[in-house]
This record gives sequence, structure tokens and C-alpha cells, in this order.
Amino acid sequence: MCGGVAIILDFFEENNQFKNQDDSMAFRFVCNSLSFQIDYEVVDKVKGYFPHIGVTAREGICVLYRVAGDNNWFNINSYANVSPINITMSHFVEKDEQYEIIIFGPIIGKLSKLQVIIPDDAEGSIINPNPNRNMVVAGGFNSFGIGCTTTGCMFSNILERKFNANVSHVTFNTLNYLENVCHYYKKGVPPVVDVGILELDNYTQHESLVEEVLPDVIRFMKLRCKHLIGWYSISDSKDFKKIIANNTIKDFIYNKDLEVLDLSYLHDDEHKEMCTFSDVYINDTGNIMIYKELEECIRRVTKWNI
Amino acid sequence: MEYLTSVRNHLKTINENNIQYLNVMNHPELVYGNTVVSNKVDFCKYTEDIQEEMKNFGTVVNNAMQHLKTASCGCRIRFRTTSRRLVFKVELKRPSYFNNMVGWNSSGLEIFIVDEEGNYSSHRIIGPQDGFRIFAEQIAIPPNSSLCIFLPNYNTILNMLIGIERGSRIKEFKYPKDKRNPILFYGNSITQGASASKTSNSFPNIVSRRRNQDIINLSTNLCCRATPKTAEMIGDINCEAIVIDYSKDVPNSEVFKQTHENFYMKIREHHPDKKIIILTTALYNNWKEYKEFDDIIRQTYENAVKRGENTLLLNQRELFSEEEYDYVAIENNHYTDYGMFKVADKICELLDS
Repeated sequence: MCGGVAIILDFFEENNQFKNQDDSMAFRFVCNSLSFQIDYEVVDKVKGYFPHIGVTAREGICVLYRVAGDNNWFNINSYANVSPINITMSHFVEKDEQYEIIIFGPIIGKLSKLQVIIPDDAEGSIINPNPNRNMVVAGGFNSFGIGCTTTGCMFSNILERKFNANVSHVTFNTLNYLENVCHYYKKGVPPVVDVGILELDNYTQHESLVEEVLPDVIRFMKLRCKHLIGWYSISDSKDFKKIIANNTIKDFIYNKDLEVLDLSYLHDDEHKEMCTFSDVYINDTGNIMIYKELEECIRRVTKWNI
Repeated sequence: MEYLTSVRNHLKTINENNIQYLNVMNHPELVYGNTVVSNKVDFCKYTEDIQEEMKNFGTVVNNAMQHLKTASCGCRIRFRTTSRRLVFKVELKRPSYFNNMVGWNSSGLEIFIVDEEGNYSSHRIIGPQDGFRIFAEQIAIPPNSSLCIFLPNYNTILNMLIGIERGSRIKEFKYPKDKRNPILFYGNSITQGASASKTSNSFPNIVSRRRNQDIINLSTNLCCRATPKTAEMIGDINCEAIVIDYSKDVPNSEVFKQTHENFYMKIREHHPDKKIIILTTALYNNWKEYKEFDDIIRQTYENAVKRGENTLLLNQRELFSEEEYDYVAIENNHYTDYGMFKVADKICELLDS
């Protein structure tokens, strides 16, 4: 970048809505430049055994664009370990054409710096989270993004961009995540959102916890979510868990407090090769399928016209 | 999993007292997908001539060829065994993962159990942690299993030992007689397998599994340049059908015009009757520079049809709606499994047509 004074969009500057917003992974801006730079830093990286997560999903960023007037998003690329990065938009847009960028942060590390540098002959501004369409995704490692090559493939992030929504995450990469979700809702008063999406159970969570804690989690979330959608995807080898989960939540379903999606078919013979790594972990396509199911359900319950 | 300094190391956490090892590198009859026939396993699929040609495309391309020419994409180890426990000791060339690929694709081995009807069932995926390249792992398998192990798409196996229980047997596990003639894939980084979630989910590997058929995957990141020597090499390989995914690594439409149909024609000279499937560009973010490419591909196809040749066209983008483009691939063209399976299914349909 040379010439006059570049425009710097600093997502973490003091007065910005993104400051201290740990539970959101998405950062948006609008621009009309044929190129820009992203300068970012990731801290709290974790070394560990992650053969089922892409490096950029662990500790990098994922960048997509859409041109003004088009609903469809397109990938640019994902990046890790190199910053700043130069992005050439002339491959995709014409001179002065306006477009929107969304940047998804990492799932294992944490963004400590995110600046976009735009040449002085162009315009650009940060888009604040959409206050009219809020969602929260709560759950365990599947909702956390474990199994994704890039963060753009996470079902929560697909929802974020396709619904033009503000999606916050209450997700935990722990075996018994319901305890963490329960604690999150018990300890504070999170903002009311339009849609809550709760991973009701997974392969590894202890069964007794589902019986003991899940009803509390649903009750807490119901207070903070106008619509609550629960889902699970459990392979046949732990079929008994579906019975426990369904028995635990049947009153909520009966009272129409909760929509439930049983997505266990991701593990059946027809889908498991494409959608899962094993009985435990889903992959990118598992996330895509979850998004597709949730999309239909969200449209139905919210009547959002998108 | 145990990390080692050499595959000769004794294991500390895996009991190998009752294990006898077979050095895979000495048993090419167990390895499928290579082009070189020799008494040692040679994962390099390219002739010296082709490697030499890559120098004409600059340092980056030449380096890619040198780094990836021995990648085991599309290669499989197949055997039957009476052992109920297997111990793998594997030495890979590259310790680190690629940015936009999970480790279980670039450096993973996926073990499938194959039933008598040729149905594949995934049993385990093994692969090292980022930063490690020599490792050992054990798995339990049902007795008298027939196994097909898909090898890393973006790494090279330098050494590999398979341990079986002492006294148990291991023997060849060939494809059915009518599925031994391979389908040959020629392509780029996508065809090599980026960015499937696991090594078995590149579309050539899915096709192999779906049809229970041998394949050769002659695809290397950045090196899909449609050179004369490559056409000759493909011409010399006895195969059932050929899938050409040539477009991604071409710098501009002028070069593409000069090379696409010529390359096809050279291959066709050697294989006058074989089914050839030509793939259009896989491009899912409206990258402007590639827009003319599909017209050039279509022209090659239409000319072939006019000549009455056994040639089919697979329009990759027509498999998806534009709304799906942001999850079909992770950037402009490297498919997620969602994309890989759709392309594989279509190739299978065209092969059967």
C-alpha cells in the first residue's frame, strides 16, 4: 500500500462493538477497493492432536466476499501463520464495485488483532452485527467446529452468512459440555436472541448428565431465546442415548418449547463416509448437512423471509 | 499412537512381542495405484522426462513436482489377513500439515474392511500429529479381514512396516478380474485430493471404492501442465478409462487454447476406443480469469463428438447451485467432501453410461 493515507478498519479498537465480544467469530466490512490487506494476530494457540481440524480453522482466518446486491457468498481463501496478507479483489469485482467481506476467526486460538487496510483511493467501513437477527449456537465439540477444514465450513458460520445474522457461540470442546452451557446461562444474563440452537447430546457425553442437566439448559435457554431448536446426531452404536435424550425432553416437545431435529442419519451407511470421520466426529459435510436442516427449521419457526 | 525416530524403534506403549513385521516397500504386489513396475515400491508416478519438463514452468512448479512427485495420492495397500491385530510403523516425508487441509487427508491412512460383495466399510483413520512424521499405531480387526488402506494424499511414505500376529497369514487381495484395469485420473491439486476431509474422500478414491476398481491418480499440485511427455505416458498406460481434469494450473486462456485439445488428441491417438471424460473447470468464486476456459474445453469435447469419439463431458459447476458455492469448496476450487462425492457420483454415472 503506497500513496496517500490508507484507511484502517480496526475491529478491536476501543469504541468498536467487536471489542471483548469473545463469543462471535464473524467480522464484516464493506469496501470498493480492488485490493486490501488484512493484518491479524492469533494468540492462545494450542499444540495438540488435531488431525481432523484444518490449520487455518485452528489458528487462522477464513475470508469470503459477496458483491453488493447479491445474496450469495463466495470463498476467497483461508490463511494462517502469515500476516499481513494482501487480497486482490480484481479477480472477482470490477473497479469501484462495492462488495462485502466477512472474516471468520479461529476456533482454537483467539484473534487479538484484526485490522483491514484499504488504499486511500477507495472506501470502506465496518459493518456492525445485525441487531435484528440474532442467534446463539450452544453445544459441544460438533458445534465448536471440531472436524472442520476451515471455519467457513462450520454450520454456525454458514448460518451467520446465509441468514445475515449475528451468531454468538456458547460452545465447548469438552466431553460433558452441557455442564458448561448450563453454567454459562446460570452465571449471567445473556442477551435475548431470536433463535437458540442447542446440541442436545453427542457421542461422548455422560448419559446421567443429559438426564440431570439438559432440562435445566433448555429452561434457561428458553428464557433467552424466542425460538429454541435442539439437534443431535448420534450413531446407531449408541442408540440408547437417543432414547435417553428423547425421554428427557419429551415434555418440552409436547409443550412446544423446543423443536427437535434428529440428524443421526449423518452416521448411517449412506451418509457416514461423506459426513463423518467416525462415530464421534462429523466433518465439513456433516456441518453442511446440519446447516441445511437448521436452515429449513429456522425459516419455518421465525418466518424470516430471506 | 507412538512417535518414533525410526520405524526400527522398539515400541514402548504398544506390545509387539508377538508381532512379525512385513516391510511394505518390499511388497509392490500389495500396493495399487503406482505406475512403475519394480521389485520395490516406488510411489513416484512420473518419468524423468516429465519431471524435466516441469522445469520449463519455473521454480515454483518444479519445486512442487520435486516435493509431491512421490505423494501416495490414489494409492492403496490391499491384503487379506488372519491376524486380529495390526501394528503400523510409518515414516512420512513431511512432518507438517498443509494450511487448508486436515491432517487425516494430507498425512492420514484410512483402513477399510471390504466384504465379499466388494462393499467398503471404514474401520479406522490413523495419522500423526502436526509436527511429527514417524509414528506407530495398532488396530484390532475382525479375523480373516480383507483390507484396503487408502494412503496419504499429500505426503510420501518413505518406510512402512505392517505387523501381524506371529503365526497369522497375509496374502494378496486383488480386485475382481473385471475391475483390475485401472481408471486413470490426470489432474491438479483438486484431483490429488485437496481439500477432502480424509484421504479416502478425494473423488478418484471415491470412484475406486464405489466401483471396487483399481485407479491411477496422476495428479500433482501445480504440475497439471498437459505436456507432450505426460500425454505419451498416459498413452502408454493400459487402462479402462481416462478422466482429464486439466485447467486449474494453466496461467491464461491463450496457453489453454494452445494446449487443451492438443493434449486430448495426443492421448486419443494412443487410446482410440477408450472412454475419456473431460472435466470443465471447478471454479466456485467467480474468478474472472477462468471464465473463457470452459468454452475451450467444450470446443475440445464437441470436436471429439463430431469425430465420433468415445468422449464425455462433465460440467462440474452444473452439479451445484450458486447458493452452494461457498461450501462446495473451501476457496475457489478445492472441494469439501460435499463436492467430492457429487463429482465422484457423476463420474461413476458417466463411466457406466
